[in-house]
Amino acid sequence: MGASGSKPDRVIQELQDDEHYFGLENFGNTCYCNSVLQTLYFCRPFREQVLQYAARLQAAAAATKQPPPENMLTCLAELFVQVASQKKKCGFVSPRRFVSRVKAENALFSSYMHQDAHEFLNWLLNDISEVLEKEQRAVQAAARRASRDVSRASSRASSRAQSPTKVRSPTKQHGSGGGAGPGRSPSLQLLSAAAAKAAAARNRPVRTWVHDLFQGKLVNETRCLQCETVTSREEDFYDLSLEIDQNCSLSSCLRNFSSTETLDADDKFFCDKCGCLQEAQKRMRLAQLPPVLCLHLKRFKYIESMGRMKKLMHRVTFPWELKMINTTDDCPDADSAYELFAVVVHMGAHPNHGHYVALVRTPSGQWVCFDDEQVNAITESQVQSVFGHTQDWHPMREDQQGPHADHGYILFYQRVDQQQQQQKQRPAAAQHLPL
Amino acid sequence: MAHKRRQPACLALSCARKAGSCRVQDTMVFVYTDRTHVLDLASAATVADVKAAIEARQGIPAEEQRVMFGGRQLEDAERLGACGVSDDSQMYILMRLLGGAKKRKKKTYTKPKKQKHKHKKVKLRVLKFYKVDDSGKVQRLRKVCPQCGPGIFMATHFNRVYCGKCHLTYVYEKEGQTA
Repeated sequence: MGASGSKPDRVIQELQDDEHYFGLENFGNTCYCNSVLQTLYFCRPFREQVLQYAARLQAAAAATKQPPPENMLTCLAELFVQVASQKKKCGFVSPRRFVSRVKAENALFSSYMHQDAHEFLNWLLNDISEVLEKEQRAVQAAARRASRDVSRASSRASSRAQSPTKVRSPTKQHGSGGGAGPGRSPSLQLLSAAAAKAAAARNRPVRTWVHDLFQGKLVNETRCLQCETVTSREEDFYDLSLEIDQNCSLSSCLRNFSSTETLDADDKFFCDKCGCLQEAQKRMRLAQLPPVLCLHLKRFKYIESMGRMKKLMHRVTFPWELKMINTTDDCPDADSAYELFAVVVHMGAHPNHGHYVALVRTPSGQWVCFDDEQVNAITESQVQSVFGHTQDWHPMREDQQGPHADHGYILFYQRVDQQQQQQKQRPAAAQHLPL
Repeated sequence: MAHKRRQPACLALSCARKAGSCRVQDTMVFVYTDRTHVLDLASAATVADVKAAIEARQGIPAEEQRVMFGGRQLEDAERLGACGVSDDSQMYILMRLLGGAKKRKKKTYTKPKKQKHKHKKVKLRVLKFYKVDDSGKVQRLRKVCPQCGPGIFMATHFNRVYCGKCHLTYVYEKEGQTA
């Protein structure tokens, strides 16, 4: 994309911020990984959380004098620290540990094949949240154990009844309540109730900062056309996968996502009230918006007549600033604005192979293209060139000269805080005044 | 490339449809591809069953499908009940855009490719190196390499002699010789 080769980009060198723009080395078809890592690194709240985690990790390692067991999150933290602690402004680093960990953890990514960036992103976020969940559960279990020890100290007799059943009381009160039971059988009853509660506490999903940042809620409403009963159900999401059309905008994709669909013929809906299959109308709306919104464009289609997959090179325009339209009426901060900060771009005319790069917007508003180890400043119009094509182009041969085939695939939007927005508007107004 | 369509592996589905307006299985889910499918499955059904059902309906090969539920991609062997899918759950079918390669600029060559010389096999080539004259004396027809000493002949080419052992080349310059 950029004109300059591997030498550092002068525009980036002269950027007045304390960011580090480091490319990532490609170890044989790992650019799906590199481009996702770059977008996550430039997702500021995410990076801050990872760096905080890294600091905690270091403190823990210093205390116990042994390195913590390696997992996806520790490798990611190590990589982010490596980039953030660089002295130079740009260059490139090798995510060797991270990539080898990815290959060890997931059989799909262990080969040197091309992969899907969205699949990788989703897996990575889920894996990290699982690591965090496990850690939080361990902390909770330790707290419970501690509270149990307290109760055990207070009543020695009932502690004997407790330990074989392995009750983990969720709070101190439950533990001491069980411990204060006079006889064995009532205390056992109490214990079983406590055990059920404890089990519920254990199974309750733990909310981690990954959830706080990326997870939103969808509500799925189905209205039976016979009895007009509305069945609604909430689902969590990390990203929205949107159908695309030729010459459409992101807003129209979102509208399409939440449009009302009729379920009939083979797809009748079983209405609990009518007790039989009925025609129904269904729509999905956003009930809760995450601070970081990932929109995934479904640039693939299965062409049944040809029996193969096809990449859709449709033109889909996406705005720098987005307001969500398809929210429920009671959705909190439904009218908050979202700002585009990164795009993962798929290059190539085929769904089976290609190249991924990441376009990232710096805090100062400059766009930067991360193409593996290369980092280049690009203009807004170059970003707009990944919207797609108004006409389909069919490559007959690989070497045929045609229009470029770079298309935005995953779009990352970040919620603009009200305060930030005001701050932004103020200097802009100040600039206008002297003129 | 003709695509072989598999038989619908989802027995549960066909049963429910035959029964008309009543349902057989306990888990009725929405599966979104580019439209919503309503599938009636058992909670013990696996994710692979969902993929097979979608393949039967829309032809999308199961191995190309990714099943997303609640922000997570489900593995083939997972049972629906075990990963939290229940009545009225919404699943999404996605496919993939693969990428990974470093994009290289294709070189444009202006000159046609150079043909590498092919070794020509001549049977009993050694016989050509010597000649026995009338007096019965052996004559050596090739030049001996001055660096490698006697026993090493230099190859005679159209404009030069060349030692295959030490790569010494003498180019004939009309009469004189230069290294």
